[in-house]
Amino acid sequence: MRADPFTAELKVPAARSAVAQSLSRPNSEDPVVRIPVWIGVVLRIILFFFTNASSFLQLRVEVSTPVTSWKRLREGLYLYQNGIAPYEGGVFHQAPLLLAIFNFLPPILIPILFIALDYAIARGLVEIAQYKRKLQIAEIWPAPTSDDSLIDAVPVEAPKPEIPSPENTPADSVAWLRKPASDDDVLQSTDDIPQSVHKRKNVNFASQEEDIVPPWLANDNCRLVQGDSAHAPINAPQLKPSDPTQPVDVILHPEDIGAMYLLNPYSIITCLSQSTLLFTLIAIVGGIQYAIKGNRNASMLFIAVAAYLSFYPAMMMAPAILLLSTQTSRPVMQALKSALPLFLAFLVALLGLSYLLVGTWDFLPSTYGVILSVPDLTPNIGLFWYFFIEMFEQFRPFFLCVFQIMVFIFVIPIALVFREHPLFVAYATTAIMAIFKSYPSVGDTALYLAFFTMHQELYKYMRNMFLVFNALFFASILGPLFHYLWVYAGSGNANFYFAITLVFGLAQIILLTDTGHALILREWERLHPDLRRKRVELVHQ
Amino acid sequence: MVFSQGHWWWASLLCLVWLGQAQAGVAITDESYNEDLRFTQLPDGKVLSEFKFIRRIGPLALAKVRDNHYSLLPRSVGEIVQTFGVEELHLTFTQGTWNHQKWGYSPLGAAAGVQLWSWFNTSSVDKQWKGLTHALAGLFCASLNQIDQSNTAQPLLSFLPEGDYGEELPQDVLELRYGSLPHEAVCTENLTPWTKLLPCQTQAGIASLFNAYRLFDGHYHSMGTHIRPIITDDAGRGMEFVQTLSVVLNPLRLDNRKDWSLSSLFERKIASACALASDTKVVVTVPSHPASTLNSPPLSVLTDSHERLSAHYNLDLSTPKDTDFGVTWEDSKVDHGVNRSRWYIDAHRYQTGYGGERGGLAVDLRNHHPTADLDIIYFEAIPWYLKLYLHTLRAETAADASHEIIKDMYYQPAIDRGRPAVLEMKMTLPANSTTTLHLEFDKAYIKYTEHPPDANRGFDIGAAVITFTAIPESPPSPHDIPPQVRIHTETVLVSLPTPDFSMPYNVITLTCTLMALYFGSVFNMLTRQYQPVIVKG
Repeated sequence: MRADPFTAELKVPAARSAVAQSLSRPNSEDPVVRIPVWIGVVLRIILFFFTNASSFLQLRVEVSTPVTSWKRLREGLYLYQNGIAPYEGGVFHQAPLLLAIFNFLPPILIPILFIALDYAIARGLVEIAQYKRKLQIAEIWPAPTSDDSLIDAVPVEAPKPEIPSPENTPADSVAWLRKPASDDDVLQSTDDIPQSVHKRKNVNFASQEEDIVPPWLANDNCRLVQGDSAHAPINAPQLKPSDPTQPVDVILHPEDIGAMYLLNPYSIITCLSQSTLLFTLIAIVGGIQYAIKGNRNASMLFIAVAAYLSFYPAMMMAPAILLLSTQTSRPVMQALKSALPLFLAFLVALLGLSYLLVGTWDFLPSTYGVILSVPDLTPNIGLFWYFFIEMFEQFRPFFLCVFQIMVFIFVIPIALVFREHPLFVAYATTAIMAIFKSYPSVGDTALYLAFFTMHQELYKYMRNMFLVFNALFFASILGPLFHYLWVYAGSGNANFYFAITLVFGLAQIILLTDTGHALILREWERLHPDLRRKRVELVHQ
Repeated sequence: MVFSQGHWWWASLLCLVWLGQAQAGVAITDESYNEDLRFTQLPDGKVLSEFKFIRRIGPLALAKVRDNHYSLLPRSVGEIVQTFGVEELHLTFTQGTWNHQKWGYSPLGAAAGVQLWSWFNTSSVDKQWKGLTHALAGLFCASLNQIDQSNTAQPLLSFLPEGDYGEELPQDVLELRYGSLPHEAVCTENLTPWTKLLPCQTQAGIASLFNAYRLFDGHYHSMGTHIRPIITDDAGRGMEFVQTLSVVLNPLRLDNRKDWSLSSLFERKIASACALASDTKVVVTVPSHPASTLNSPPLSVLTDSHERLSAHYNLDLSTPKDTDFGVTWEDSKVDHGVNRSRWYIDAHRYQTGYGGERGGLAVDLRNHHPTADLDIIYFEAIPWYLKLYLHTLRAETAADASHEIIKDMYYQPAIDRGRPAVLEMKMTLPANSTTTLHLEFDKAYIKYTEHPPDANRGFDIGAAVITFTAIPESPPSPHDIPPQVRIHTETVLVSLPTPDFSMPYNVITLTCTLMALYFGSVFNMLTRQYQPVIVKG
């Protein structure tokens, strides 16, 4: 519920002025804050054991891809238990060690295992969010100098009067221009400009406050003690209360990120469909979590497991190494040199273990080969299936290469550009995987949306949130409908569902780039204190 | 000595002549050709005609064949057999489904479409199999070349060698390949090359009845070509080349009478016996009922214990031209025909489920035997685009089966575009019960080029084959007790979800636009920088 796009947006202004309180709030020691997480768990238990949602969702194309489907895992398990080579055929494409796990698991424990996995993912995300919270608190916003030579030297012209004033809220930074609040502010002293903006914001929020507060926040501690918090003294020195040009951020509640994940409908249906994607997700989250702790071995083990399970998460090496280098205060290259052999060793060990389990290397072409060459064109929410159904045979290898390169091509550039923000790199990498992997499902989306919600300070710099979340919402509703029209009713054809997957992909791409731009903008603002309220323009390097 | 000298000349000349005659005599006895035609009126009044053209090639003639000297064996067939190392070959072109329940058992019954199985004695079997299918495709004007690795199976139990291999060729060096094309339409274009292999073609002999208009107008039509090794009296392995054709025609359709004759069924008569045939036999089997009369007096009449009357005729060159056979019924309402031998096993296969995403196969296997549990072998080769889930396989029976129904199972999972799923099971069907097999599958989404031109018609799934040792329900006539009985189920038509065939360019452009958008905007994001600029009014 809380991960719903609308509420996610609502939460920004609602808690915007609660900086002081959230800083002083006890960090996830209050049992009340854990309630949403447990609601997510209970919801799963109810849906698993008291409805047949699980057996229905297991067959949905949006969650069950050829490389994660529970039904296919059962087939592989059946073949394996009956002495038939599971990887010889074209049905089972999942990693051999999953067979080992489920070979010995009694059936009643299977739903419990999946719920436990989801809960563990949520706990991991909460730990990552705690780190993010620390970063937020520690973030330094240099104060503006009193005499700004640039501003003094170059008087900035007033904006056109016809531009309506509500656009002055930072969330609506039109055309990447930050404008002075009013016509008169321009030639005033630098101290005056931000103050007026600040005041205007306060007025706006004060007037809207009663409407905005969501019911589940009504009893939240931070809301109760809020009052006129914008002018309340802020104790945290990092936040520069004296600097009114600094945006007022929500300080993250780590438990909320867990709740965001567990109450996200995408993750609920992924869990209910018993998709083995959850094993990949927990390995990714574990890799990031242990990288934050500076535990190189565990982090590399988890990332190797994730890469072993579904190949693409090898990209998570980028954020993990950035995190390891910051947490252990070593240069990135040194961290890479120490971590990469470890990663490869774990990967080889896992593959060797798999070989011992199934006694043949057949699983390599049947798992990674399938992921890379996409022979199974079952529809999913991704971009590959219809493209390669319709592709001319002679161009198929070329476009396969192009599409697979597209997944990996920006990982290193993003890691370089955002090297100061490893968690953002983690978000971008998981998002790229969710959009461009060959067999994506909504579970991938659920993971990167959790990372997205950790970057709440970026919301007000984003331009297309409304468009993106509406598109995601409508694609999620229309996708199953159009699939039904095509496959069952016969009153629509494949193009309907294809168009919806395009919309879904488009929305995610816009979200990704929008977030990236927002981070760059915010960083620029942070590092250019004297230009914060000035008119700036984005130009090429 | 003058006298004796002359004698010596004569003697040597005679000797040469005699030797030559002896050699010719050996050649004649080494090869033989027989024609055999059986008519049976089935209980529902339809007439089954079974044509058999049997050529036996002895070891001597076979040795000549290896030197490219052909007499009875058609050169095209001999070359195929030699080139591809074929020991045994069975090819049937069939249209319609043999109705076991109504018509009893026919040894010539085959699966609908084209069915080909062959035993090879060669290395590199896959290559030879490919060559064989292509050669046969050319020989019979059929799409046999479409039998590739993706619909070739290697059954373990269902198709045992049928020939005599003797001592020198152990059967475990042989390798089997099985392929079928259930959607193949059989027509005149396949019949014509097939009849061209006959020694007298359609000019004489029983083949002169082949009128394509009538043959393909029947309820069931099956045309077979069978090659198997035989051991003749001479030491050494020969070869038997049999062409069979069975067709079910319906005399009731015109005037609602069960009377039939060759001219009414085929609009032809037997012109004359084929001169090359050493023996031409015609057998008309009717129920021994006072209401039926044979149109022409038979050579001999046999009545078996099951009230069946078999009239035997022999054709030779002295038989008058345009011979006609037939049966006249005094009362058109007489409602019984010949009970052909039946076995206790029946099988039906059908599709379950709905929608374009997934479905299931169900097979009803019936054992009519009142007391005995019967063992069968169930074989199925399912193309890769139906993704079988073996863990959903279950056998249900109404009988209180105290034992496992499925005794033994061999399963080969399918590979996408590579090979079919092969399921072969040894089963024991409880007495007097129906066993139903259920199996679920997902329908694959295949590339738009892999769909046939009539994509929305669907895909035919070849018949399942049920093999068992014959226990006749009714005493069979001596000629039809095979060691292994095979019956075939219906083919199943499965429709796969189709893409929009007019869309490839649109899909490519739209998806690539999205890719370009991603690349462009992320590239933009990674390379832009903010710069303060002077803004003037």
